[in-house]
Amino acid sequence: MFTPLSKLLSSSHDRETLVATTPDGVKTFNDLSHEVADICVRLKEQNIRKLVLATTSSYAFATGFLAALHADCRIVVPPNALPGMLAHFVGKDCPLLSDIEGAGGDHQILIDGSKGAITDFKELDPDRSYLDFYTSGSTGTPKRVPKTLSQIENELVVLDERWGRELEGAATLGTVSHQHIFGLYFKLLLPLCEGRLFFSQTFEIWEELLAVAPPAACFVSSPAHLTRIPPFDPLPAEEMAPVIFTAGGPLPFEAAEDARAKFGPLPTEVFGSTETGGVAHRQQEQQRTPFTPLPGMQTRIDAQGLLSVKSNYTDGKDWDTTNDIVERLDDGSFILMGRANQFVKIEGKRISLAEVEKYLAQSDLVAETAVFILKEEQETLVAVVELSPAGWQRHQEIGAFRLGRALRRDLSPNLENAALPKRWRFVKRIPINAQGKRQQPALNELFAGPGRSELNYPDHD
Amino acid sequence: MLENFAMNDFEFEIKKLVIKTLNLEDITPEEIDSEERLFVDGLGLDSIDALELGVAIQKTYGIKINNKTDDLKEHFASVRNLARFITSERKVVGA
Repeated sequence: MFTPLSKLLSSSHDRETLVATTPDGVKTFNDLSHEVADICVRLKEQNIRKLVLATTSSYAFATGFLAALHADCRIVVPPNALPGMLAHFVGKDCPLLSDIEGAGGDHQILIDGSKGAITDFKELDPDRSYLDFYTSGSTGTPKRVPKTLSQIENELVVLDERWGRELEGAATLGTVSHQHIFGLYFKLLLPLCEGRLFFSQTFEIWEELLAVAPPAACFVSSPAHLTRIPPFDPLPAEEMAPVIFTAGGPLPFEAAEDARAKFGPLPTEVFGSTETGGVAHRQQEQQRTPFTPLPGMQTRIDAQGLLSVKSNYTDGKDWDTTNDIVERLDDGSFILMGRANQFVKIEGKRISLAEVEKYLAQSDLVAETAVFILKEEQETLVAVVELSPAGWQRHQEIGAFRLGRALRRDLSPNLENAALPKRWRFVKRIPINAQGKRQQPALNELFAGPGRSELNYPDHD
Repeated sequence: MLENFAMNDFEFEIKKLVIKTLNLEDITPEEIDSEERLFVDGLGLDSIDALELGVAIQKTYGIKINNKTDDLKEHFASVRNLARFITSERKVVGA
């Protein structure tokens, strides 16, 4: 049974329905309601109108999400809970609602699982409940994507219509964060509305996920994890996953086959963005299997093949132009051809090169940087760095490898793993031409050879 | 003593596997301390590296990392821990 978010707490819901598995045990709908009530009272007491919601636990996110909306607060959803990211948003008029103790400094409301007396939760007005999502912006500052609850609800209805039957009764476990819209919808909100159990944890490795997964559970994952499945025995037929969702970037054909062999179905690739929401989906029977638009989603292209989409959950229910070039077929389905703009994607994460360079340049060890994508077998994020005198000093002390790792560590409060450069070159001068423009061929050439360490030691094999 | 010597050899082999699997540049097996932490601090590997290393170890040594294995993080904490873990797992499967 599907219950819209706006009616979830006001409806006569079975109070014993299992909602989520957490480290503190399994939470029922009754637990959820009491925990939401407690947070809701605290938000109202402090007269909070706007807050940042960022949590480790997906269940904590669910309680914070519902409490904020019922307390009439606007919710800011940052793409991660890194200290540098939170610092952009958190302040006196916009405190942090989180289960991470101390993350908001003086401006935090802690989600601690306390239970309050249940008041009469009123039905929410979806058109007057507001959220702001954020994604990487081209200039290096996060870009705001506002949404109303009605857009979110409309999309969840579509997802339920398309997959509700296949997912019936399936618990959900994810390797992706709920701070991104794909994880939020597929591993948290859809199960919540459909009355299915979800796991609060974000699993980093498959072994941990499979150790706790009930039979026939749904996996919400990404190309980063589906391309790195260990050599497991296939799940027994009765335990196979009904659906595996993946999003963020292209899934290699071999990885799709590998997932089918081990977990049951071909992964369902969901194509979309924070701006547009879910647009289309496919299971990769063949490499050129086109993406089929979700129910109610219209598609069109311009002369360059740039895709625009429209549905009852796109901004203003109007056409929204994506950054993707596609080949559109007569039935509205399409094949992805590439991206049109300055954004790059690594491990399915949208990354702004300007942002990486900006943070890198803040280090005392760094004078100049050039961060770019190297197209090898996989696309790799790489950095060429002109060091400061202090930087060369460190280089001499700890060597190139550890210097690269140290710089990655310096970046990590501000950038997610995927945005940390994988390969590093330290140079006296970044190659530029007479006009001061970077010389990309010369930059690429720096990475042409294997790392020097590989040249220096004999292979024992 | 002989056992210690064999263990050091095995640790060296694992260091080479780490470097090769993860395409680490500008570092030799000799420069990795057997006891330093592989992730976050120490060698500074990340969660994607952990996934790749897990796959490589299972493929290379024909062991299965048991889904119920506790303390997986501890087994992957350093080269020394990994060497011990692989050695004990190989005894279990009788390889």
